[in-house]
Amino acid sequence: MDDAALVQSIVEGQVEHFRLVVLRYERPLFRFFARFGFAAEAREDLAQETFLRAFRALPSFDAARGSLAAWIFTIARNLAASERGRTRHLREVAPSDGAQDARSEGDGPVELHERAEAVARIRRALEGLPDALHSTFVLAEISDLSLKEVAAIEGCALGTVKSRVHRAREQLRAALGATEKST
Amino acid sequence: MTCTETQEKLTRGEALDDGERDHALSCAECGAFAAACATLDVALTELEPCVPEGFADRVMARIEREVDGPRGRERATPTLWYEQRWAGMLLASAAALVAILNFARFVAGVLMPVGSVGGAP
Ligand SMILES: [Zn+2]
Repeated sequence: MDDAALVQSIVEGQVEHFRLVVLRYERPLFRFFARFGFAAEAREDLAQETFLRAFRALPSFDAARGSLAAWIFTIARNLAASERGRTRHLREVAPSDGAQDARSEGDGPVELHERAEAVARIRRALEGLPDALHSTFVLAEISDLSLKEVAAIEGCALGTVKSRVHRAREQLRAALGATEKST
Repeated sequence: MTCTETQEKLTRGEALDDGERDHALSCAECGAFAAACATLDVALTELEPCVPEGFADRVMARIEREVDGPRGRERATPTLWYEQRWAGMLLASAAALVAILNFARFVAGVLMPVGSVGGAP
């Protein structure tokens, strides 16, 4: 079922079909909020809120104007931006959160620590990016979105998206390199 | 191709063509740059959170509560007494009774002899 047909069936009363939307976009949404630097509990809240808002606004979705993915990530981006602004002064990278993200089966304590360190480092580097670079880079890194869709969400030209992604990667690489050299 | 072109492609995360790959392998600067980009990619994939178990169920439960909410309230609100079925039947019966009584009064007043009901002699 394509996006338009799926949305049509939900709007016509097949509410249970919305589960397909959730299953289709939950993973990229969690990845999106993680890369925005939100901790596990905040990610769940933000992802739930994104889907709820999407459901409420579903009758206004127009497949001719863009994909469902772009539409959902526009909601997610607005939520992330307002939450980021609201909690900017409180934000701090919790080392335990990095450890939780990096955990996988079969890891020893040393590997776990190194992976957690790497995650915390990349998260700090992401946090250090200017807002416009951060948002564009995170959206572009989500595989469900084309750079054209990112441009539509960000309300900028395709070339701007490309140059922002380029600059973000350069800054992140530099930040990681600097930390690695200093440790 | 130049070092700049190769490094720009690496920065954008684009695949290198054969010539660029050969260059990256032989040029110390581009080789180091490629390694740094790969480190960044690995670090980014480390930042892959898993979706908490039961997430879709929790979202659907909230949505169903929202959808059922107004309908549930409609069901819970008692309808007005005169909208109930028994009240309708009672009112219809009362109207029929009044009609029958009026008909009886008409029959008694018009069709029956005036003297027989105690009129003046
Ligand atoms: Zn080179």
